[in-house]
Amino acid sequence: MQRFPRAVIATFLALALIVSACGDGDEDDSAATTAAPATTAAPETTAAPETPEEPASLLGEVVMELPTTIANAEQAAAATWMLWDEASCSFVETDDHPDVYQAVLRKDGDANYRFAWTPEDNVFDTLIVANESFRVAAAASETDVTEFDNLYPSEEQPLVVADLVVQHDPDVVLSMNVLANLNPAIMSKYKEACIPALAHSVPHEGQPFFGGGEWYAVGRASADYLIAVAEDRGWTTGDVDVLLCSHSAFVQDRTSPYASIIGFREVVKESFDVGDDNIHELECPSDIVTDQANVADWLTAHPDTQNIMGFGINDLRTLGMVNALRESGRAETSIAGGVGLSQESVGPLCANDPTFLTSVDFVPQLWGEYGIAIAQDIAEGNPIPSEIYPQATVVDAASIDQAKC
Amino acid sequence: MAIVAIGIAMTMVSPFFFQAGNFLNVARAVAITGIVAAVSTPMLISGNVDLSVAATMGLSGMTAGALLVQELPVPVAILGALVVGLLMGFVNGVIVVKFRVNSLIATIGTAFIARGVAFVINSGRSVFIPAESYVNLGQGSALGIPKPVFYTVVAFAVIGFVMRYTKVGAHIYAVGSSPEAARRAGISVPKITWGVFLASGFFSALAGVVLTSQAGSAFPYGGQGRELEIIAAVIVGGTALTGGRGSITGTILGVVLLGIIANSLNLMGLPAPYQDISRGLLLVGAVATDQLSGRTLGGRGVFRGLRAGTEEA
Repeated sequence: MQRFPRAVIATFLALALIVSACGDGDEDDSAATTAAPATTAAPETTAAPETPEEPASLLGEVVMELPTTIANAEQAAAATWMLWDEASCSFVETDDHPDVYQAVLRKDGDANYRFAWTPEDNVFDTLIVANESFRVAAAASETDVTEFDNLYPSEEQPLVVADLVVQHDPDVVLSMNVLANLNPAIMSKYKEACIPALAHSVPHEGQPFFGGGEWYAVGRASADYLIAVAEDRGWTTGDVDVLLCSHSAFVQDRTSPYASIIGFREVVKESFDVGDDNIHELECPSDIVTDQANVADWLTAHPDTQNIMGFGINDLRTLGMVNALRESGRAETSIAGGVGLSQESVGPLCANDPTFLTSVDFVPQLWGEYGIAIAQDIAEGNPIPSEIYPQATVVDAASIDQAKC
Repeated sequence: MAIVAIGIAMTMVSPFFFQAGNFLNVARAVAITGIVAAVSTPMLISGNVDLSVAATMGLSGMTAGALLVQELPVPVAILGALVVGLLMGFVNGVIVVKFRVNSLIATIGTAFIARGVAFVINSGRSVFIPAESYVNLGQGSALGIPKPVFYTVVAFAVIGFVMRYTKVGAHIYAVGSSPEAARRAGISVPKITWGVFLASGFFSALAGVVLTSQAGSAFPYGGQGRELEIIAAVIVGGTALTGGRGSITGTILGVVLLGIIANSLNLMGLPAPYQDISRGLLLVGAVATDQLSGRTLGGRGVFRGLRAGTEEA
C-alpha cells in the first residue's frame, strides 16, 4: 500500500464512478430508443375489460391492450379471482369480476404509482429481454418502475432485495424470485410492510401469480409440432426415441420451466404412443459444450436408435443437443425443438436447419407490458385472476419474423 | 493406474466404453478444458493462479462472434479474440507484477471485469455465428478426429516443450520454488510472471475460439464455472498448489481422468445427483489410490506437493 499513494486509489475510485455513470446513460438511451417497437408491435386489439363498477381511476390513456391472459385453458372455468385489500394487507378472493381478464397497459396519468420489479437476474437471455421490456413499458406508460436484481443463483440477494423494496415502499412489487424456498420469507416481508406482491414465475400461496411462460403448454405445443413433422416423415412409434435435455436444478413440478418437459413427455406418450423406455431425460447443465458431450455420450451408448425427437428446456440446450446429433452423423434422422426464440434458435430457424425445427416463443418481450398493466390493476383495486399466463407461440422457419434473421 | 482401473471397470460395465468412437467423444469433451489446463500448469508451477481463464474464454469468444457478425474475415475475428486474450494476460501481469496484488485476488477482479465486458459487447445476448468456416474449426474433423483435439494436442506439445526443454521452463520452476532464490540466481521474476500470464490469456482466448466454433454460437457467459474443473485437472495431475512442482504429462492424465469419469457416468445413464456423488468419490479415490501406491498421475503427488509447500513455508 505504501507504494500506491492515496492519489492512485482516488483515481481508481473516480474511474469507477465515471464508468458507472456512463453505464446509466447508456441504459437511458436504450430505453428511449427502443420504446417505439414495443408499442408498434401491439397485438390485435380486443374490447376493454369489463370491470364491475370500476372505482374512479387516475390512470391515463390506454397504451396497449395485451392478448387475453386468463389462467390456462384447463383452469379458465374454475379460475379464482382476487383483489388487494388494503385493510387486511392481503389479497382476498372475489366473485365480482369480468368473465375474461385482459391486461391493459395505461399511462400513469395522475396516479403516480411506483412499482418495483425484482428480476431473477440481468444476464440470462430471457431476462435481458424481459428487463428491457419493463424499461420500454415503463417509458411508454410514464410509470415509475424500479428494478432490483436478485442476482440468481444467490440465496442471499433475494432477501436483501426484499428489504430494499420494503424501504422503497412501492405501490406494487413484481417479485420474480425463482428460489421457491425463499418465497415465504420474502412474501412475509412484503405482507408485513403491506405491499401487494405479484409472484412472478414461482407461485406463492395467497398471492396472484404471473407465470412467465405457461411452461406446461409450451412443452405440449412443441411436442404437437414435432409429432406432426415425424408423421410427415413417415416415422412410426416403434422407431422413435425421445431425448429430453433438462437440468436437475429445476424444481420438477408444473410451476417451473421444468413443466415444459412434463408437457412434452405427456404428449409424446398420449399422441404418439412412445413408451417410457424410449423417453430419455438427459442432464444438460446449460454449458453448451457439456450438454453436447452428454448427448454425444448417450448417442454412443444407444447406437441402434433410428429416429430421434429432441426437446430442450431452452434453446441453448437444444442447440447443444443438435450439435451432438450433427457430430454423430444423426442429424438427418433427428428433429428437435427448443424454447425461448433466443439467438440460439433464431440462427438455425433462419437458416432453415433440417434438425433444429422450432422454438416456442413465450413472449418475455412483453413481460414488462403485462407486469405493469397487472400492477396497475392491483394498485387500482381491480380484480385479477389468481393465475395469469402470457400466450406462447410455436415458431418455425416458415413463421419466424424475417426481421429477426 | 486410476485411469486404467476405471477403464477396465467401465469396459466390463458398458460395451460402448472401449470403442474408438467413444474415445473420440472423451477427447472432444475435454479439448477445451485441456487447452486451458495446459497453460494453467506453468501458471501454478510459477506459484500463481489465474481464475480469469473462464471469463477470458467468454470475452474472447464474444469478441470473435461480434467481429464475425460484422462480416469481417474469419482470421481477423480469431486474431481479435487472441489479442483480447493477450490483453487480459497483460493486464493480469500488470496487476500482479507492478501492483504486487496476489494473483488469486487480481484474477478474480479481472474475471469480473472481463465477464462484464463480454456482456456489454452484445447487451448480454449471445451471438449466433454465421461464418461456416469458423464453425468448422470446432465442429469439423480431420482424419476422423475432431479438430478441437488437434488444438489441444498442439497446446500441450508447445507448453510441454517449453517446460521441459527450454530455459524459460526451468526458470518457471525456479520462480515457483522460491522467487527469492530465483532472483538471486539472476532470473527476472517479473518477466517470468508476466510471461505466464500472457500465455494464460493467449491460450484461454484460443479455448474461447474453440468453444464458440464448437457451439456455433458465442455466449457472454461462455466457459463459466470451468475454472474449478481446469484447476482440478491440473492438481489431480500432481501439480502443487504452492508452486515449483508439476508436469504437463500429469496434467494430460488429469484431464483425461476427469473426462473418462464424466463419460463413464453418462454411459451408465446415472441420474445427475448420483453422477455428482460418484464423480467426487472417484476423483478423491483415484488420487488417494495413486498416492498410497506411491505413484501419482504425473509423478508428483498432490499431497506430496502440498506437504512440500507447507514445509517450505
